[in-house]
Amino acid sequence: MNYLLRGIGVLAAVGTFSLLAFSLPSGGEARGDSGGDDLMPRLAHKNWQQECASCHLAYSPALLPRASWRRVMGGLEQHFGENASLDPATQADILRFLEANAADSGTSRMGDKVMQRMDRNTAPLRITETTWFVKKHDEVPRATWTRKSVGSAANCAACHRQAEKGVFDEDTVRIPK
Amino acid sequence: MLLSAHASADSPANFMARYAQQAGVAVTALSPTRGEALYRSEHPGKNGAMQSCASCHTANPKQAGQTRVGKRIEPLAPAANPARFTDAAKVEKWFRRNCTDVLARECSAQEKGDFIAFLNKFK
Amino acid sequence: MSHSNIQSRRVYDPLLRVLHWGIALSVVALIISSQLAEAFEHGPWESAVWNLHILAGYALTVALLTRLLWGLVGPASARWRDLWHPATWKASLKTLRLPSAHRVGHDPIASLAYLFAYGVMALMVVTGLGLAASEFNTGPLAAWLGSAGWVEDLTEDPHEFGFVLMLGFVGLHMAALVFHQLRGERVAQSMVTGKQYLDAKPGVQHD
Repeated sequence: MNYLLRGIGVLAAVGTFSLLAFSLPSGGEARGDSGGDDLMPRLAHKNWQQECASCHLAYSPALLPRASWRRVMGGLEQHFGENASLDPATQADILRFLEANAADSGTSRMGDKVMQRMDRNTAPLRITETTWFVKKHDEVPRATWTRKSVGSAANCAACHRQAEKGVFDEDTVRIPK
Repeated sequence: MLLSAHASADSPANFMARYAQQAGVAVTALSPTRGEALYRSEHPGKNGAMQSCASCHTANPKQAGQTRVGKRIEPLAPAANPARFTDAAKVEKWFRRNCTDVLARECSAQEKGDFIAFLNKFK
Repeated sequence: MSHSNIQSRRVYDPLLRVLHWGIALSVVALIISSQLAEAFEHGPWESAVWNLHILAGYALTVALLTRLLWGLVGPASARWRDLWHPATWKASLKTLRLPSAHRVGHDPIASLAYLFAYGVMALMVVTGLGLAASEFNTGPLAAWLGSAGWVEDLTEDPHEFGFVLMLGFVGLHMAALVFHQLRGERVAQSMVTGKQYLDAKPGVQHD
């Protein structure tokens, strides 16, 4: 029967196409980035971890472009209303690390995602001002950020319970009352 | 009193001696009472609200405090946190930062000495 | 409705019927998994349920691709031409009446709804694969659009709007089934046995 052959032909064509299409390696695997898309790049740097994390979570360098980090590190005497000044050697060392792993350094998928949503001519001082951050948190009502248990959007670990480990997966989010 | 050049060998007593010497007074002239007054004195902050050391470090220096973004600050009193006042670079860094933040000026050697004398009094 | 001169005719081929149920099952699985995932939002099962949703989406993609080709090379009742009746649509629009006679193959008016459903499903598959790539960095488009923010911005709302349209079609489809059942018209078996029950009198073909 003619249509039997045609049917087999159609199924074979779609089957072959689907096998090819749906078994293509996804971007993440091809890139060699392990883990989900909400995982910060795993980084280690003594001064960054020691100095930045003494007041707040050591925010990943992949969340802001180089120009932003230069602005941040150039204004530590007035760091969001607090004096966070460092000795020049430590300051330069941390800036080098931040620039090498910044969002526009091309070293992480997280950085690529942040840059995809950013106007290249801007250099925001706050991670919370990036379009990436705003979009990622658009389901969180404004009032949640100012809850006493949260404090501000700068307090990642209030909801991202494994933020200190670099895990920002939605599964690990628990918004406190 | 022998001043150690090695930071990790520092102790609260070492710092008190050093600040007393810088201030040109005897260690015994350092006052925990003046230190406590400094700790609790309130100053107008940048956002209009009053602020003091206790704003972040809490009224009881043996308790853990919280930074403005909610991160835990280990207790200031050496009795509750033996790592306090053992690293000269760290001690100077935080006096420089926090005095300019809260008092809008640097602290004098005498004030630093009084401050440690107050914290060292906790058992 | 006189039943005396009604006769059954085998109209729909087996592949078409298998595709119908494949598409139906995929759509049901997609609707259920999307609602479960929203219910489990922020819970430990969320990503697992979204993965099921994505897999069901692949199944729908495969079924639709097959249907697309079958509509080009399959038997008459499976062809796209069997769903295209502009003359009948115009006539019905003028008289505001449904055509009284029935034809072999897809009903001309129902075909409008089927074409609409295929359009919506095509939209869902395209935006869904875009979202799988941009939001979950998986699927055939991931290498190309992997975590592209603009794709997520572009496809998220149409995908959610398409969901509402799809629910509308499923509702209409079920309501029509009940409607014909109540009128004593046997349509439900057509996608099971492939048989249609039509007036023996040949004739009124609406195209």
